[in-house]
Amino acid sequence: MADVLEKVKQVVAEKLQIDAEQVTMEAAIVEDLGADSLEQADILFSLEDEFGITADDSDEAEGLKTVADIVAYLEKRTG
Amino acid sequence: MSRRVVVTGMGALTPLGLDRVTTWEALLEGRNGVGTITRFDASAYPVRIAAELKGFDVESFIEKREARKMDPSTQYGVAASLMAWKDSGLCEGDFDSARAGVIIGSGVGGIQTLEAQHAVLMEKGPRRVSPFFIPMLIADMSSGMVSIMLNLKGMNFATVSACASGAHAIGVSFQAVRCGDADIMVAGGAEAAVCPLSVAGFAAMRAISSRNDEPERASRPFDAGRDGFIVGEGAGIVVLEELEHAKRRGAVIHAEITGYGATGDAYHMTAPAPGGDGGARAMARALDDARMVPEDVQYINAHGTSTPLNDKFETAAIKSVFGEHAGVLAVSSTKSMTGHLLGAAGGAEAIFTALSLANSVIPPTINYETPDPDCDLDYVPNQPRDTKILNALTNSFGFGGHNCSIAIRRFEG
Repeated sequence: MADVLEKVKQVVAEKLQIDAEQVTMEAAIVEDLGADSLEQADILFSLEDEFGITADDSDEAEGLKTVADIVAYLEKRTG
Repeated sequence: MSRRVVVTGMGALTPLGLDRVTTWEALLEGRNGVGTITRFDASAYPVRIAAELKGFDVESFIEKREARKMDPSTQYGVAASLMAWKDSGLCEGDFDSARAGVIIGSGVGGIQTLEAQHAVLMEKGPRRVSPFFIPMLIADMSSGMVSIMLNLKGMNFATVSACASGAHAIGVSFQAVRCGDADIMVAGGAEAAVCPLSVAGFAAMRAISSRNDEPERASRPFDAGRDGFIVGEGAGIVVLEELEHAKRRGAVIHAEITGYGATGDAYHMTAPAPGGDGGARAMARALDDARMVPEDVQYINAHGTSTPLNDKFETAAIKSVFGEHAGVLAVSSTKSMTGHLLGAAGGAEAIFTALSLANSVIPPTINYETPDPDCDLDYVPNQPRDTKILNALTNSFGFGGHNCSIAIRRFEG
């Protein structure tokens, strides 16, 4: 869990050029952190690549709003 | 009364320098921007030389978060546009945003992005292709990004005509301002094609010089020993403005655009039409458009690529248009120093031509050593020439048989 969160923080902060501290579990990628739809997709693809998974259920991936959603998704997929 | 169109801003990013002033100084010193390729390992390539930008720091122009979503060609186009805009002195409130547009051409757009993302597709599959791939690839993104950054809401698109892309962008922008469709246009070209796929492709065409051991002598337009052009990269962007608009805000006026001629060869994919017919008709139309006769012109900034055919046929074209005056006027190819900036060439060379007019000095054609019987004009060999010039043409021709000539006049009120 901690490892996944750290990785998500790192990728989101790097992609959006923001401080990692801003990337809290509650933060919504679009509304709170200011990503646009392409950046949102870019973040997800980069994380999938990092964790060596391929989302075949894109509906589920597209529903991810917050950092917590993404962490939960990645944990389930890598579980 | 016809509206007059003047150049009030200029920004250049070339292998000779990362701004217009540095580039211009290098041109007058006859410096050469060609070297061994450092951008990638070209040791196995038949051509291992290019004219690369040196030391470009994108973050001095564009925030990292935005810059990383742009292909280098767009980064160059945006950076040169920002320099041109700053030079123009235009500020919010000076102009009607809806009447200010952007046309920035590129020969191939984001070819480095294409290479990188194709590798991702092959290695990792379709789910890993970047969501930024398409917006980074498409050749019109410089125009789009500049409009966003400068809030310019007038006409916005790109011209694509290979090595004439930048010149066509300036030509159609000139027409837009003259006819009243716009008051201000940001126009020119951007290219970032020093990359494996591009160098391999141009080499396969035998279009580029393979003088690998002497890069500084490889670009030698009009010289008998020329053997092809040098792939270059960069951007050249001008701000065009309606004369009265520029005067009202007390703008510094660099030069006036007076004519534009565009033609097609209707002949061959890549070879110019015999005798330079298409180029000749473009020059004749530019003269006509500017209401000039051949004797009014003192200088031509040639397309002058250093390929055997271009330089021979461009010479023939100049002679067919200018007759006896062809032997009087000065012709130089700044590509002897910058290399060939491809889609950016027309933008950069319009700037060089404007600077020649404003400063009364013609940059030389360097590496001119051995005369070619087919190239028998005054090419301003190896040394710049101080001389007052009133009218000049700048030529750009592109694969596909696209020809463009722009008439520029020294601004004297």
